[in-house]
Parts: sequence; C-alpha cells; structure tokens
Amino acid sequence: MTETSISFIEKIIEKTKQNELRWIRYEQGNVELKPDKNNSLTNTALVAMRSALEPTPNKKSSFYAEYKDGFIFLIFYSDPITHSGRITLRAQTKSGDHSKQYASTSGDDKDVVSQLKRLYNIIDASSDDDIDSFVNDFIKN
Amino acid sequence: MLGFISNIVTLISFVVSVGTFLLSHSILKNMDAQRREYEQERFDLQTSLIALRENIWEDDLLNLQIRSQLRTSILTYRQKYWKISHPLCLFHVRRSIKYLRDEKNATHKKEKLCASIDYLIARFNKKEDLGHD
Repeated sequence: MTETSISFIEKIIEKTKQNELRWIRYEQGNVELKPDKNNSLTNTALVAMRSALEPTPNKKSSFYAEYKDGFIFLIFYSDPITHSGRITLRAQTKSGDHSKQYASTSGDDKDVVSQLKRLYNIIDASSDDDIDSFVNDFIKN
Repeated sequence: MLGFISNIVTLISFVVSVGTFLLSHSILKNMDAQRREYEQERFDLQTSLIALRENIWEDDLLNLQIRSQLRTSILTYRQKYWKISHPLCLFHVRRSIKYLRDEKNATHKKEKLCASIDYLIARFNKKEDLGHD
C-alpha cells in the first residue's frame, strides 16, 4: 500500500504541476465524498456514535479534482479536541458507492506523510496564485 | 560562641543543599517532560520540514504562505526546544529565519536556506534518550 500511495501522490503532484488536474475547494463544489469502503458499520446508532467521535472534514480547507470517471479528494480534518489537523487522500469513482483512503498524515511512514503534506501545500498555495493571476490580468486589461 | 556559629553555618548549608537538590530535580523533571514532548512532535515537525523543503526546491514555491508555514515550524521548534537544542541547531534556526524575511532574500539564498532546513531535518532523526526516570 505504501508504494501505491507514494506512486499515487507523486503522479498527482506531477499532474497538478502540469495543470492536468484542476483542484476545487470542497465547499465550492457539488461533489460529495462517499463513505469509506473500510467502514463496515451498518447499525445507524453505531455509525452516528462513531461519526460524533471522529474529527469532521473542514470543507473550506479541503479540495477535490475530477479525473476521467472519478474524483480525487484531499480532505483536511480538524480535530476539535486536540485542535490539530489531519490530511487524507481519498479516491472514488462516479459509479461506485464508496471511497477509498490511500494516504493520511496520521500514518507513520515518513515518505508518505511528507509527500502528502507537500501535495497539500502545492494545491493550497496554487489557489492563491489563481487570485494573483486574476488580479494581474485585471490590471493589464 | 564559635560552636554556635558553626552550627548556624551547618544549618544554612543544609538548607541551601536541600534547596539546590529540589531545584535541580525540578529542572531535570521539566527537561524530561520536554524530551518526551519532543519525541511526540518530532515526526510531525520533520515531515512538515521535508514537505516545505520540497516545495521550495522541487516545486519552486516561495510565496508568503510557504514562507509563513516554514517560519511557524522553525519558530515552534525554537520556542519549545531551545533548552535541549545543540548550539548548531540554534544557528541554523536563526539563519533560516533570516533568509525567510522576504521572498527576494529567500530566493537569492535558496540553497543556503535549504542547507539549514536539511540540517534541522537531519537533527530530527536523532531520538532523545528518555532513560532518566
């Protein structure tokens, strides 16, 4: 899984830098993240209890990109108890019922965690570049 | 009379010794707590620094956001662990902060900035000895 995660993250970085992936803030889009494939709980009470204990996705700081017949999500989770943040990389197809997690900054693999943080910084920083190019274009015309 | 004075001096030296012992014990306990905290946060800080160095070197990102994140990580390290830091670490912390002052400076001194970050990343590979208890 680690090798797949690293290859996946590196390819996303490459495609993002070549502008082949267009990242949209999760709060501004109309795509919903599907439930985790590994979350096998079916009892609604248990699901509700679990989701109450888990950190909630911060939609303002999360992003997604469309690629062929699926979506790649970079979800930022804010922990209300520790006030810390966690980033996860997930993917889902348009036809499937679930999403799958490929990497998380709560893991213990140094390469995966650092590359995931690097990817998040590229996407988060490029959203400011879009504003800068918009303002520059406005000034020139 | 001399016996009385020597008794007083002995009493004072005993009180001072007890005070010094309690103070040094408290300082050692505090340093142990800091070392434990350092171990927990070491991974998080190291991976953040690796990511930011790649952002600067590989992705050519040196905007305010990246510089600010890098400054925050480095200053967090300095604020929390200056007591258990090697003087060379503090030198590289100071040098990084100096180069991060503005984008022009950071771009001009990019290699030196990355060299200082490299030193701090390598420093985080060292685990602290927790066997003081």
